Amino acid sequence: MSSTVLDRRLGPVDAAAIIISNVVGSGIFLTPAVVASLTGDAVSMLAVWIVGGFIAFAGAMAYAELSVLRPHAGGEYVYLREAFGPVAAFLTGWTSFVAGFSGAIAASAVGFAFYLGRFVPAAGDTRALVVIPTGLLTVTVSPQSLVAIAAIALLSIVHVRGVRPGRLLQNVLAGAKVTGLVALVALGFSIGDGSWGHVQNVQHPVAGGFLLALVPVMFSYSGWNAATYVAEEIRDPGRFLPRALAVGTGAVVALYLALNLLYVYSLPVSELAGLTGSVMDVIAERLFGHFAGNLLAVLTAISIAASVSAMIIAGPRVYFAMARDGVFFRRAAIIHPRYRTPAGAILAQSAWSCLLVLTGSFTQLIAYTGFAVVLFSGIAGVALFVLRRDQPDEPRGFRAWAIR
Amino acid sequence: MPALFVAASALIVVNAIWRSPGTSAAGLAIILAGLPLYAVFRRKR
Repeated sequence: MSSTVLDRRLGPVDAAAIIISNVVGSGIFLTPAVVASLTGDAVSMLAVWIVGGFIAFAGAMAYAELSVLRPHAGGEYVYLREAFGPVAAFLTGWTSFVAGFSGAIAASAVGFAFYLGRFVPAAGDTRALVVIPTGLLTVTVSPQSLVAIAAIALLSIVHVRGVRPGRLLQNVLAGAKVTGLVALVALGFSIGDGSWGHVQNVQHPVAGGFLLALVPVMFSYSGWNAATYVAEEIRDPGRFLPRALAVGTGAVVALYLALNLLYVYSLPVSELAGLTGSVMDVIAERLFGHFAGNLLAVLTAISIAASVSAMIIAGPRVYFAMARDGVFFRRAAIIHPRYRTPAGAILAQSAWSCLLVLTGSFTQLIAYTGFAVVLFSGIAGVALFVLRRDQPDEPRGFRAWAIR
Repeated sequence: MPALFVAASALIVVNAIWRSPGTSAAGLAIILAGLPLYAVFRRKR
């Protein structure tokens, strides 16, 4: 308990797996319909994903420089503290705790229970078992919320019990997710019932739609910075962090482009634009027939579980850093004496996420604070220039290409 | 690259605020609600 520094036990593959899992959640299954309706054209639709991917990669390179300069736990909390002071840093950490990570974990865990409900109907049952009005919010206990809470608790326990079992679970889930999606793309193009005519059939793009479509696309790419939250636990951060950020983000961009190409291969953009819910469900059925539905539900459940797991790793490192600075609950700074993990911070995030599941308030929280993810990462980008100006002589193991 | 990222982020945030001012204001209120808590933590330190 005497040490206040986390051990460096993660390699570049672990860090890249955290990025891939964090980014590829349910967004890529839901967002393409919105993007299709805003662009109205297959080429424009794919171009938005390419531009969004380039912006995400640019952000990853900016974060690579910052994380090599300050290879500590906390990501943008650390960079904002160094460049703009403790208040700005606290606000990004607070937002991550109250909504950013916790809200996304709650939403994803409920999504996981929903997909599990395809195989075990009780898991997706939303009927209220107990309702407790508490004034502003109502706590509703349903079988679905209990399954979501169990998923959060189970994954939190694994990540409390050591970096080694945590990274093993994370790498297996990320590997299964990527393998499943790559297989789906490969099978879709080789044996699926689609047409390249959908891609070549250029319609009139929607005026101004490109910029508007960039917003949901950037939200789908959010999480490319996940490796920087665990920078304190990455071996040889000067070498491995930039590599993990480049490979992780690059892999996500490639995967997203392949999936979107598959979407427009299987459906005309006009039909894609009219879809509600998971695009992937409709696409798989169109390409492979009805039997693909259950297989796809398994893949989606794995994808969501991997995403929840990655957020349970990343988020607590922010609160741990805050508590270590004395601006968060003191217990969040506790490093487990045996497992060497920020156990207090993991449990705090787990408890708050479970409360959000029970109150159902995560939907509003995410809607209200969604723009904050881009806001704070953009401010971290500005921090890079501030630190270059204020600390020009500090050795930089990695330098993102930029105008000085 | 970082300059492009900062510019794109600014564009997205401005667009989000412009399109949904009410939602963004609620979000800003949630973010700023952390300030009293920050003061409490600072005093305790």
